[in-house]
Amino acid sequence: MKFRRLTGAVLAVALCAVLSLTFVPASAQGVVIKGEPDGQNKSTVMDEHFYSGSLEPNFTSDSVTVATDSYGMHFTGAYHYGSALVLAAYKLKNYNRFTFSVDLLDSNDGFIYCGFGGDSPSTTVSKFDFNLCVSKGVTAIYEMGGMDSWTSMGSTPLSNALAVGKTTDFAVTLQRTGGNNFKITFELLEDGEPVFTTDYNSATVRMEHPNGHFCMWGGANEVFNLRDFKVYDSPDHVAFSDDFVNSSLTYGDEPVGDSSWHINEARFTSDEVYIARDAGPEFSKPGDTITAKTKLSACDTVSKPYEISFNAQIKSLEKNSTFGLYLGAENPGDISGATVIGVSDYNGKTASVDLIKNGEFYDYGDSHIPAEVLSIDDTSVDFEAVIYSDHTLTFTVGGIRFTFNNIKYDGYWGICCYSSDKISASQVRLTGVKVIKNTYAPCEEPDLSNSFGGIKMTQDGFEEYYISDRTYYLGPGVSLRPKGAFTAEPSLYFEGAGSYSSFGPKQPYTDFILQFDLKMVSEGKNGQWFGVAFGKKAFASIPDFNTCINFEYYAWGTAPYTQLTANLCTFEDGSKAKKAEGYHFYKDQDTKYNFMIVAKNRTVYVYYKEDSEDISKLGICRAVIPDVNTAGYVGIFGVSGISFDIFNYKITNIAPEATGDSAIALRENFEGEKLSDKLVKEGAAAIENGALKLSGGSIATASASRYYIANFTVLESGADITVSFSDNRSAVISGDLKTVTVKDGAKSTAFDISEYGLPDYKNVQMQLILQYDALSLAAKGIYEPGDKLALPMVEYTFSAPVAEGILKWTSDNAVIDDISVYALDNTYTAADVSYEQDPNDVNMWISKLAPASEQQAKSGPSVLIIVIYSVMGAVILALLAVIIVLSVKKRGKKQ
Amino acid sequence: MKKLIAVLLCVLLTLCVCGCGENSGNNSGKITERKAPLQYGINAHIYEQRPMDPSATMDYVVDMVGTLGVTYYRLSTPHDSMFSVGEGDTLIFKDGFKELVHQIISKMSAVGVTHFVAVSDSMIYPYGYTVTSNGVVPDPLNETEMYIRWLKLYAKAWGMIAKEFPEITHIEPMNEPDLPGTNMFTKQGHLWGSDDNYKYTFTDRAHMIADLQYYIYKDVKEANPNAYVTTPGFSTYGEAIYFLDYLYEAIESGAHPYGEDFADTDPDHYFDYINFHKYLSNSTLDEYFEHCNTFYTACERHNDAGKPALLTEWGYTDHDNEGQEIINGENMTKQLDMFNEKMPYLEAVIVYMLSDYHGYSVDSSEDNFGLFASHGDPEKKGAPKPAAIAFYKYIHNTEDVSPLYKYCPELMGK
Repeated sequence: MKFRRLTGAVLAVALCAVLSLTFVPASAQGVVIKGEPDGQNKSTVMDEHFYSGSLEPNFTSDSVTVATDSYGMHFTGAYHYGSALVLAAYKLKNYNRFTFSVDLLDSNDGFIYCGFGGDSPSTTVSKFDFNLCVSKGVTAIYEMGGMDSWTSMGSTPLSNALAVGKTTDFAVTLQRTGGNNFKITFELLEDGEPVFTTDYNSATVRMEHPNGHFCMWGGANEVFNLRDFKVYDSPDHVAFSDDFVNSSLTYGDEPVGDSSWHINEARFTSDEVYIARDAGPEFSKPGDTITAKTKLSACDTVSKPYEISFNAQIKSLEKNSTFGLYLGAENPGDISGATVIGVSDYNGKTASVDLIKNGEFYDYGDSHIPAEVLSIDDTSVDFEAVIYSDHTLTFTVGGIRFTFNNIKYDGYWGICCYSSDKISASQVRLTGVKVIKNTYAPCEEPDLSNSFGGIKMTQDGFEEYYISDRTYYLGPGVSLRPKGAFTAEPSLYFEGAGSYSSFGPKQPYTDFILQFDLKMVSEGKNGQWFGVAFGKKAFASIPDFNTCINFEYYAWGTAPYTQLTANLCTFEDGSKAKKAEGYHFYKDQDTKYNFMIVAKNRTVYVYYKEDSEDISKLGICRAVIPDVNTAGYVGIFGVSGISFDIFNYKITNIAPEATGDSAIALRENFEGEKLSDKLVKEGAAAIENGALKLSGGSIATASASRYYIANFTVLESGADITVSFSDNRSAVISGDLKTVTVKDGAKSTAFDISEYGLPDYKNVQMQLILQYDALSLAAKGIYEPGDKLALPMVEYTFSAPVAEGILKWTSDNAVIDDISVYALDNTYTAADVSYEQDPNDVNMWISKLAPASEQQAKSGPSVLIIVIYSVMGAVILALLAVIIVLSVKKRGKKQ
Repeated sequence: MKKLIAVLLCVLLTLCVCGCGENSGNNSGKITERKAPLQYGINAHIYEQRPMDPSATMDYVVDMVGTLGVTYYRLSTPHDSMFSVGEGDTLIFKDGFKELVHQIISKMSAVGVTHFVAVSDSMIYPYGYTVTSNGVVPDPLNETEMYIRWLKLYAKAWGMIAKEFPEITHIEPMNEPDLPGTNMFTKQGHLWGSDDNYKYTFTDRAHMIADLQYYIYKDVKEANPNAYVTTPGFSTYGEAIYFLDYLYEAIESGAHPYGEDFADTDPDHYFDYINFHKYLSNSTLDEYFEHCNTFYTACERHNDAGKPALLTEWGYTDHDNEGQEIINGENMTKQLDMFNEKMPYLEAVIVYMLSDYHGYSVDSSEDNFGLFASHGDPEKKGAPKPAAIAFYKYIHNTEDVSPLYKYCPELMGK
């Protein structure tokens, strides 16, 4: 078997060559929605750094042990009230400046705490004089001593501070101002210089223990490393420093002695807070192997189910020893029948990449890695293996990519030093392994729209605006405007929005179009923003801790403008902030703006315009956020006291699983007798057996628009299908499914799509996106993995923007199974959902008992039967009475 | 003719039995007289468990509980302090708190406590689920999967407690979820202490508690068949006086347990004991009695007569007022008489609480419920109040109250 090798550069060049032949470059305005060909849901299932000095809990091995060096204090996210890491080696003085770095490895949106004024190294946290709490975007003082009172020190404007995966440098200065009063100053540092400073409004903190201790701890699930710790007792004198190389730590009842650090109260165990290790499994013997405890599973719902990356310090490589990844083993550690892909010595100085299957080396071409990428002299090397569901695997070493086919990946896997001669052994230390699992997140949730003008009658007979809290989450400070003369247009009012002020559906979405209008009520201030959060794990979680696009008032040393910021994600150019050119949403309290957020295939597109501007302005993509998990709850939110109104809310589910016509989307599967009123059938087109036979006729949208996402499934066709727009523009898909011809007025451009290997014109899903002046077309076989539609086969930019028009499908004999069309403009209006029409306001406590009649049949007589029996009893009693009376009379007569 | 009459009478009798038997109700188990002596218990906040009054250390509390000679202790086992929730909703005890509870049980047992009523006043949540405040319950309709995960997780935690601490005789799943203004059983969006915008209705709360009770009962019995499961400690406050009716109606509705195909309408599969709170406050003893009876007799109204009951909170605040202290002392004796003589369904009455907070509570209205002054109070030095003296005299049938002054002998007789 021969395997080919293609570098990333070669692929890129080849792709560019194809593009240059056929594609017209997209204009700056028309960013075509396409996204990345990934699964929808990307989750990190392993991120192992071996800090604990053990292979557990992710790996096992019979031969490999973890070597360790010290370098930082590791907090595992364990939390015990009162327990902390106390700095035993230093007591507070008149001037104290603590500087340290925090590598945040995982977070549950909690705080990292610094306590000041502990009586002794064993003192519980609650007996420290006060605590400073820091979280992402939030800083506060937390005073303790029985009463829990929080005093805000303000929000940090730096979105990078305390972000997972980032290192944040802190400085906290405590300076005596007189008596036992201290001034506290909190700073965020970059390169040793403060980039954010707050001092609690110059207020002072009164301390009971001005010569007490300092401590640190984290909230539950806050996983971090504390590094590079220093204490200055004057601005230029370091009184204590710790790089944790030779640091000492004692726990609970252990004598503190000369230990620098001490865990109070014996609550944190040595498994929970410990001196972290610059650690890793060391491979040094022939056949050394570590095996992951979790197997990889076969997957065909996403094209790229697993991404495994690892880093290693390579001290030496030998010719017959291959260090790398093994996959597809039947049993843990049994690599004899597995596939091994890794590096070995090439010429004593450089390495090559080996592929070994069932113990045999495969020659797949040039496998040499240049010296500038990997030289064997104790160098740190990054490896990445991307596994595709079609059993392709790309293996990247130091940035050079090798591609292999027919790789069995399901089964046990791990990292190994394969020794072909059972003698050779490389010397390698593995320093980290990360596994990303991509899964498809199907989403069948219905579309929602709300004008906020729905009505409910009060008990007093008055009308009030209504919105279902079963359907929507309205966080604190979010409510409907009252119905009355002062509310010209119904809206949802964010009044002095706080951290939890959010609005959105109580159902999750993955791919969606979110549309709403917004008008500012308050005047903007620095530190205020509104935004849209997506991929939220819970509909009520604090938006600021989710991936979101923020529209921030920005006037820090400049004239006010609106800044777009990407929180926990980045724009496509890698930046996290950009000016909203031409728009300042805070400029007044009269202008209404239209917003549209499109999430599709792990990419978020941001659109907006002034309400009074032409609809074409909404076709301009203002920002793109790529490679982001959008599966979860969607919320509009505001922070820091901002007030604004939301109008005309619409969210459309554009995931393939979405079914059923709705007020704001067209979905027709031709199963029912009645055609959607958003479609018009013409000519000989006819519905038969749950599909539409065009037969020379056509089907078209009933209303005109300019921005569409149109999905349609073609069951079969031997003839061309023309998808046309009313302004002399169209796309013609050839009957043999080999070409697509885009007609742009008098100009025609043909695209060869034969290379995509689609089946004959049968069972093909197609997606056509028409967006302002750009068109894209994607297709895949129905039975292919679900994410292939993310790869457009055709991208075309029209010579002029597309005029408003209808979409029409015409063909001589095509059979269409379904059509869905989503408008990217205001074609559809938000619904007034009133109380009595709201299907979601239902009793959620449904009885599982059989209906009453059945129960009675099983368990006893009903009321009716009792009545019958009673009547019968009464009749019998009456009869008895009559008989007795008669017998008495008889006796009387006898007597 | 006699034969005819006999036959007709037999038919009549049979019909009456058939017609009336089904709806006759199961009131035969109604508790009309005390079967065993009333037991007495105490609530106390131990500083090591809940840092409030620093003088209420474990050793001090245990010593005073032993001195009082009560047999019931209401043990705080707050779930959020007891457990860590991991991926896959795995639950592990947090070592420190678990050991602390073991210590408390061990020390309390050594001074004569034989019954532990474990109560949690906090919630835990499925892995990755975040809430706006502890007390939020996932929406059963919109977050069905999460709601069921939450039910099972919370129940699993109680099962683990029942197994880890076999000395615990009674599981009280939650504290006062019926309180009209409670922060528990709220909707996402609720912030601690905020207004009523994010509260579930009484009916919804009762249904949720029914679900919770079902799963807890199952897990606890599997872990320790000897442990009893009580209802939550109902506040019975205001309109909540009928909350037990709501709970029975929820069970009878056939909607529970949520997440299972079947319906279970047998209250015996939800709780063994009725558990409630009632403070005398400004009411008369007759009103107090009437209130408790109205609440408790829900079990009779719902064909579940005979359920024993625990009164897990009762007592008095004196607002740091000596006159009120004296009144409380007088009421103590009368109230104990009433429990013994007129409320035979009560198996134990647990006073709230051992000692004052001396200014360390979150809410100052909670400061002065103690039978004793705070041990840390520099003037009162933990002296017994009249209510403590009355309580001690009553349950020990003695006039010698010197043991109550062991930490402040100089104050005896003053």
